[in-house]
Amino acid sequence: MITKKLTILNKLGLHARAAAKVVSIANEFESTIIITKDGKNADARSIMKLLMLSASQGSRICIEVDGADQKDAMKSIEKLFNNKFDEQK
Amino acid sequence: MSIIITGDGVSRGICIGQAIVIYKDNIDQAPSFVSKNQVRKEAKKCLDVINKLKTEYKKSSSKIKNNPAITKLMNMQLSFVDDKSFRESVLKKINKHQFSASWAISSEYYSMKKSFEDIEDKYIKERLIDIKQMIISLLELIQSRKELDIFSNDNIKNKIIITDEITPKDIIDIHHSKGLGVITSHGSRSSHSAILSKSLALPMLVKVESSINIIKNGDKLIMDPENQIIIVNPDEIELMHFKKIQSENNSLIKSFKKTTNKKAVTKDRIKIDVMCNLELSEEVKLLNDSSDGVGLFRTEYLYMNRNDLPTEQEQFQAYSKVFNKVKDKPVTLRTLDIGSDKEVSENMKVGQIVKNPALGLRGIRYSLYEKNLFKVQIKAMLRAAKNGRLRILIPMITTLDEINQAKELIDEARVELIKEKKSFSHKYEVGIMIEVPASAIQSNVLSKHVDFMSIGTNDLVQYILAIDRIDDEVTSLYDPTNPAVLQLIKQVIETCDKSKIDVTVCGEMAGEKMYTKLLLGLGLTSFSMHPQAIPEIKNLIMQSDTKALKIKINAILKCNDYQKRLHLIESL
Repeated sequence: MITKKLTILNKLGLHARAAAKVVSIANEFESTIIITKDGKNADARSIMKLLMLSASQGSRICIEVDGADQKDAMKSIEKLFNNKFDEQK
Repeated sequence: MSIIITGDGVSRGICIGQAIVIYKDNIDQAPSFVSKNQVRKEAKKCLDVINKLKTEYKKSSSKIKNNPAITKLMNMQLSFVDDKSFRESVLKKINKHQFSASWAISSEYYSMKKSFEDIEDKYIKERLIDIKQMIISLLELIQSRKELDIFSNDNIKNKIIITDEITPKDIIDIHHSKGLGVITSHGSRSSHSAILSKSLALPMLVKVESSINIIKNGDKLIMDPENQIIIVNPDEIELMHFKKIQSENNSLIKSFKKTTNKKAVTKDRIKIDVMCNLELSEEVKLLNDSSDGVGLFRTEYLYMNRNDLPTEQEQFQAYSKVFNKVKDKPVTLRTLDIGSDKEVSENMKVGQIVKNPALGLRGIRYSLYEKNLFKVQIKAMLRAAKNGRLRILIPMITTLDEINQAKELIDEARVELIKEKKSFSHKYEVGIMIEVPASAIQSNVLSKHVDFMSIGTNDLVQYILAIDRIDDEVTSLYDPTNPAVLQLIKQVIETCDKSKIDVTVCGEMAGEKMYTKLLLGLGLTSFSMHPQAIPEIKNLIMQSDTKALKIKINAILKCNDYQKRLHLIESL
C-alpha cells in the first residue's frame, strides 16, 4: 500500500466535474483507492462519496492506493490533482 | 367551512373547479419491505432501473456531438448513476434488510442528503439537486411511470392543478390536457412559466405557500388570480358571487373585443402600435385583426420538449404559419434565447458550473457559441418570410461586436441559401433586444447599426436592480418603476426617436394596464404584449393624452419614495 498527502489546488475544489474525473481514472486501475480528508474516507470510484468529502481549495487530503497496479494508479491520480483536474482554474 | 388563502396572481380569470394535487419531487416513500424470497427479484429490479437510466443518459448524450461542454456534463451525470457505493448500499438494503427497491433508493437519498447538509461549499452542496433528480427518475422508472409527462394526461382535464414548481413545458402540457388553472407553492410572477400561462390564458397563482398544507385532492376551489385569492371549499353564497363575476367578466371581454378592431389612437391623435407576443406557432389562432403585427415571437419553445434539435424545415413550417396569418404586417422573430429559467431539452444545456445562469451563456452568446444552430434558424426565418415583413430580433446583445458577428452569420446563412438554390426573402430588418444595461446605456452607438430595438423589461429590470426574479427571497424587490429603470427606458426611447428607428417594449410591462400610461408618458409608441391583454390595453391607450402624460412624467422620474411613486403612476 502507498499513501501520499496532497493539497487541493484548483479554485473550485473537488467539485462534481473534478470528482467525475477522479472516478474515471480510478476505474482504469485494479487497486483500491481511498481518499481521506479530516477523518472522512471516500472510495475514489464513488462520485457521491468524493463530493461528500467537501474538499475545497487548500484542503489537505490523503490518497491511499493498494493493489497490483498501485504505483501507476497513484501516479495518475496525483497527476490529475496536481494538474488541477485539467481545468484552467 | 371555507378557507381563504393568498398568493401572487399571474394570469387573470376566475376559475371554479376541483383540485388535483401533483407534487413532482415526491421522494417521500413510505417504508416498505419485501419477503425473503422476493429479495432477489427486488435487487434485480433495482439494478435494471439503474441500467435503464444509464442507457437513457447515454442515448441523449450521443445525440449531441462536437460539444465538449455537454459531453462533460453528461459524463458527470453518468457517474452519478454509475456510482459504485450508491449501488452497493442500495443493494445491501434490499439483500440484507429486505427493503423494497423504491424504499431502498429513497432512504439512501435521505442519508446522502444528511451528509450534504453539513457541506459548507455551496457549489458542492448544490450537486444534491442532481442526485435528487436522478433519484426521482429512478423512482419513476420503478413505478414505470413514464418520465416527465405527469401533466399530459386526462386526469387533469377541467381540474385545478396544485403543485410545487412548474416549468414552461408543464404549462404547455397542462394547456393541451385542458387543465383549468394552476396553483404553485413556489415560483414567481415574472418567470417564463408565468409569461406562458398568461399568453395561453391559463389562470395561475404562484407563491401560495400554504397550498401544500391546506388544499387536498378533490377539494372544490375558487381561484381569483386578479385579487390574489383562493377559496378552498367555498359555500353557496361565495360560489354564487364568483359565478356572477365570472359571467360579468365574460361579457366585458366581449365588449372589449368590439373596440379592438379599431386602431389604437390616443386622444391627441398619436397612432400607437399594439403588437402581440407569441410563444407557440399554434397560438397564431388567437390572432385577429386587432394587432399591428407580431412584436415578439419567442422561438425557444420550438426547442423544448424534445431530445433533438428542430430542423430547418420544421422551423420553416412553424414560422410560415405566422407569416401566412399575419400577411403584410411585420413579424418579429427572436432568435433562440435559452438559458436562465428557460428549460430547454437536456441536450442543449451548456456548461456545468452555472451558479448564475442569468449572467451566463444565453441569448446571442449561446448563438455565437453554437453558430450552426443559429444559421439553421436564420435560414428557416429567411425562407418563411418570402412574402412577409421579417424583423430578426437578437436577444441579450451587450456589445457592438456581437451585432457585427450576428450580421456576419446572417450573411453566411444567405450565401448558403443561394448555394442551395432555395428561395428566400432578401428584405428583412435586424434589431436587438435591449435587456442588458450596457446596451441601453450605449443605445446611441448601437442604434446606428440596427434597424430597430426592442426593450425586454423583465431582464432589463432584473439586471439594473440585480434582482433574480425567480428567487423567492428577493422577488418582492423587483420593481419596474424604479427611477433608474424608468430613466434608462426613457433614454433608449429618445435615442431611437432621434435615430428614426422603431422601438418597442415587449416585456411584461407592456401588457400590464398599470404601466400603460406610464410608458406612453415616457414617449413609447409601440407596445407588444400577449394577445389576451390587447383589448384592455388598446382601450386604455384610446383614453390617454400623451401630451398631458409627458408633463406628469418628470415628477415620477424624480420620486424616490416607492409608495408615493406608485400613487403618482396610478393617478396618471
